Amino acid sequence: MAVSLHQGVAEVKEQLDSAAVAVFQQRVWRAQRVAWALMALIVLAAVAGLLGPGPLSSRTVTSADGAFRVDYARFLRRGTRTTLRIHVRPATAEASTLALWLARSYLETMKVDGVVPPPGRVQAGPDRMTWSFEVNPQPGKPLTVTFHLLPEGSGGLRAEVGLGTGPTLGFRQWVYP
Amino acid sequence: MDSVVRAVLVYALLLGLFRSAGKRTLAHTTTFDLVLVLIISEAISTALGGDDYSLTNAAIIVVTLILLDIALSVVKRQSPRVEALIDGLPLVLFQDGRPRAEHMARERLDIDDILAAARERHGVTRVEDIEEAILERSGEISVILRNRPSSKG
Repeated sequence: MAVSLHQGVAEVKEQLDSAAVAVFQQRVWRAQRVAWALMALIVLAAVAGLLGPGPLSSRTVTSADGAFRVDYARFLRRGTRTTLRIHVRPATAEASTLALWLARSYLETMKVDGVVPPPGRVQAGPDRMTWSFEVNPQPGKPLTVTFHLLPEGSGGLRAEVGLGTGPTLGFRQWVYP
Repeated sequence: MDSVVRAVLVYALLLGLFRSAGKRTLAHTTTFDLVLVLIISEAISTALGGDDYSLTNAAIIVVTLILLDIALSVVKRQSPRVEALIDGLPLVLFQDGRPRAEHMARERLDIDDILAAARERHGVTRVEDIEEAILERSGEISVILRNRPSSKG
């Protein structure tokens, strides 16, 4: 009994010491190193803002005539709030009301969680949702409207923003799951 | 970016806290230790995840934590000083069959803890059978038995 047990141990030892096992182990180690490098890349991308908020994610677009600009995040995460800051040049905002619209197609994925300042009126059109604000413009100072948005889906998004009946702006956003 | 920062901060916080608490604190010696680990993980999870429940956030946090652990293990292998700082050093509790009272007191241990380890590992119940006992870095107590025939006492 003891002898057969001993033989069993010897066999197992031989198997574990074989070249095939050594080759396999080398492969595992190599795969692990590759995985570490990938993990480091993920962390770097996250710090840089390619996987969510961060320096490389923050973007600003300005309308062709310079009437307004939008600060937005290029990379978002599903279910995590983001903001759209719309700065309107004073010349454009001299009237006592300011109207901003967002495309309905954009709002199908983006839930509007709040608008600052609170709008006086919200109008729903077939393609656009328009927010109208009572404003008290001061010369030289841009008016800022902030939309707090919550992405409810994931994937690519195409946003369209416009000022009343005037200039429009479009940009793309990506929502991670 | 937030996710990575939060993961690093939580890692550092827990490392510091557990190191200050001592080796035995969370070595699963009592049922309550396990309960404590569960409560701590529950309390820290909100701070770790923030209000971001996305899969991406969870993945980034886990990757950051694992990477930190790997990096630290590489550093520890290269620098014994860092290893001692983070993991501590094994501590002799019993030497040549005699207890080291000061070491045991400092680690808040008594002879019962050593006897418990001796029973679990070796089925030995008597203090006289213990030659050496060492508190390992993991918080476990390893017991080396006295070789009776060749022992002096």
